Amino acid sequence: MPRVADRFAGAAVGLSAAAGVLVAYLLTLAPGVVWAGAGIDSGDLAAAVAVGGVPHPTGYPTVMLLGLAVRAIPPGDLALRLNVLTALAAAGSLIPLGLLAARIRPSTGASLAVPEAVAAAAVLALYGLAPLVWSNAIVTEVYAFASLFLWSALYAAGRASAAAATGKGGARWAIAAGVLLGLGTGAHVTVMLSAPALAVVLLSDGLRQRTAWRLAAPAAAGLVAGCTVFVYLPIAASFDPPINWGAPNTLERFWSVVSGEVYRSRLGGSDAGATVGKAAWLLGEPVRQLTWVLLPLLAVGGVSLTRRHRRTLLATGWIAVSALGVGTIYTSRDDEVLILPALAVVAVWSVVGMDEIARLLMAGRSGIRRFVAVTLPTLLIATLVIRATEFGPNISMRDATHAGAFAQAVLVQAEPGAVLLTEDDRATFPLWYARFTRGGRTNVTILDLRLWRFTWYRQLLGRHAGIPTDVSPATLLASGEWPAERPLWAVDIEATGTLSADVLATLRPLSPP
Amino acid sequence: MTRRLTAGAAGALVVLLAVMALWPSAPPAARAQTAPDVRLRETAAASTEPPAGTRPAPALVTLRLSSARLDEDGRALPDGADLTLLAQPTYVALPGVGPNLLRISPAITITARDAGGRDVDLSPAAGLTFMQPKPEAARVYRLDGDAWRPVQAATFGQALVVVSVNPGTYAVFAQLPPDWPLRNDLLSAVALNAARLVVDDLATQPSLVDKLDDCAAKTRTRPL
Repeated sequence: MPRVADRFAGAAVGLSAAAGVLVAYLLTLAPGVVWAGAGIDSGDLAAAVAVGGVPHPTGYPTVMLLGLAVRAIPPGDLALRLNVLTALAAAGSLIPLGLLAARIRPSTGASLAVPEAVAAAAVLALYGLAPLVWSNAIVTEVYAFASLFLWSALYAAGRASAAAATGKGGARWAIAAGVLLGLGTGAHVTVMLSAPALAVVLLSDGLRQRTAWRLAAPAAAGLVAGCTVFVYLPIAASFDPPINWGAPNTLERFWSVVSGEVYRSRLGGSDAGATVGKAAWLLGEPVRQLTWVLLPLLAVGGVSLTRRHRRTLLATGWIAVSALGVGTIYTSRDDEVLILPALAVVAVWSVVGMDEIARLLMAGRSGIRRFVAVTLPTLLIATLVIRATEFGPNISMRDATHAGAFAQAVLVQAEPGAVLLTEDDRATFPLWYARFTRGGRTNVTILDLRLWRFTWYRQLLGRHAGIPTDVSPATLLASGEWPAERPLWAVDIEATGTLSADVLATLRPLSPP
Repeated sequence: MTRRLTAGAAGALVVLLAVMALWPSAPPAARAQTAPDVRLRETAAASTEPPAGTRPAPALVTLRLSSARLDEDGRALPDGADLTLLAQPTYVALPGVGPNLLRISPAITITARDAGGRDVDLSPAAGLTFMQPKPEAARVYRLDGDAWRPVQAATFGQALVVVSVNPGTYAVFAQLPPDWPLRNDLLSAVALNAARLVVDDLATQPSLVDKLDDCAAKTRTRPL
């Protein structure tokens, strides 16, 4: 039976899983900015990249910097290029997961039978094609980047710890772990919640031997270096871009943006009963997202890690619990996506569990061994194919052209000087993107009424659009003081169903008395 | 002992996840959007409705059909009921090709209200929609069953045939060229024209003539 050498096992599993899911991602990729569920923020993020600006809090500087690099690549619509980048990051996040799983599998040091490698790749692909992961991988979003950096950081921490244990230093890996954790925090601040997990992996040996500083110091230095991506926010804000949430070029406003001040009220807002119900629902998500098939593998993997890699068990357990906790207490349209790290942990433990089963079978009779060696990968791949074909058509955003068509139609035909009043993400974000990427229609202003109360937003509109900002447009309109050369139009978005196709967009003129 | 504890813990974890996977209902989806939901409640700008003291835009055109009777999905309006058609400039999202594709275009949407101000659903599919075709490059569609089908040789000024798909269901849709300007004065003319076309069509539908009496003659237009 062909085998994969131990040193290539993780890369082979991770790369093959990544390649497989990448095909699915590209086949279902959104063509631009979208309205659909997971991708509503895509218009805001893409518009911010287009103007070198600051998207909604917490600013996501890592994603912005990667986006600016993609912006420099000429061909194609910028939103499409960013969607491709997101898909690459999402698929790429399976590589560190594969590497990590290979390092902690029970038969580390031994080569990996090809059927087992296929089964391991299928488990990771099941994670990659989980509806929650898949839907966030095919349109510009931040979670794929956060996942990529988080799991890369944990893998690097494991390498650092292993190197230190064998007297080979490990400082470089520790620096890398810190840098990756910082970059991950720049992709989504919840990645910082995993810092204790990295500390457990990096430092627990050192604490016993009082040599923890040998890895702690370079890791901390790396973390500081990685977090320098946040400098992007004040620098970008100082150029006064037209997308400049919070204008974070003062210390106070910078902290307001990176700490997500405007969203703090969404933490723990619901009553205890609802919170328990939500926690219960989220606890069931791993099975719903990854199928029942992984449950026995997960259990065996957990037992195996308890015996052989307690630090990794503790670290990954912390990552899963903290993700579930944040997902429980935070309330937003897409709060469920915060449990993605927990799903990844289930996938890694399941790979470990599968290796444990394979190892145990090695001691069994060859007939049973052969049977299981063929059955397990077949079962997992069949599950993968069934789920991909079941969920793919519903998750696919290939035809999600509505948001772009809406924004283009509005902007092309808006009166010269028009001010478009919006109060829905689905109106504001695609209009921002169309307004600031296509050029032209510089005499049209998009005014989101929900942001009007913020001083930074009114000042931004005053500078960029030259409209009165001391009194609200409606008040000026009612008193007849609104400038006639800036006709006001209300853009309404009404959802009549669950699909983007059910969205009805209307444009109404508002006239003075 | 440790092995038993470990196995027990793993079993408990699996049971917990399995039981929770059977949790009967998902929590209600939060409505919170990315932009903070802090609207301008202290002023009239809390809503995009025209503020007090303003009147609707001149593009809104009302056309009344007196003593008209329409059979709406088998539901006859009472004799002598007034029916008001409201023509409103709007963007409409219309079902297109494929399950998740729609076309969003500027249009005139016409809704009907009875004497009590209640909406009368003229079309179970998409209401009554009309768009003013531009002479060149305009593509005109009509609702035919569940599909929008192109209407050939429709030109500006022509009495566009507004097809009655079902009794009481009228729909015409024209895709405008993208550079068609959306301005109030044009919209007024377009809306008025659209409403007239609807009346003409109502009057020429053989199946409805006996129900319409002479509504076209009694029709008056009243731009606001």
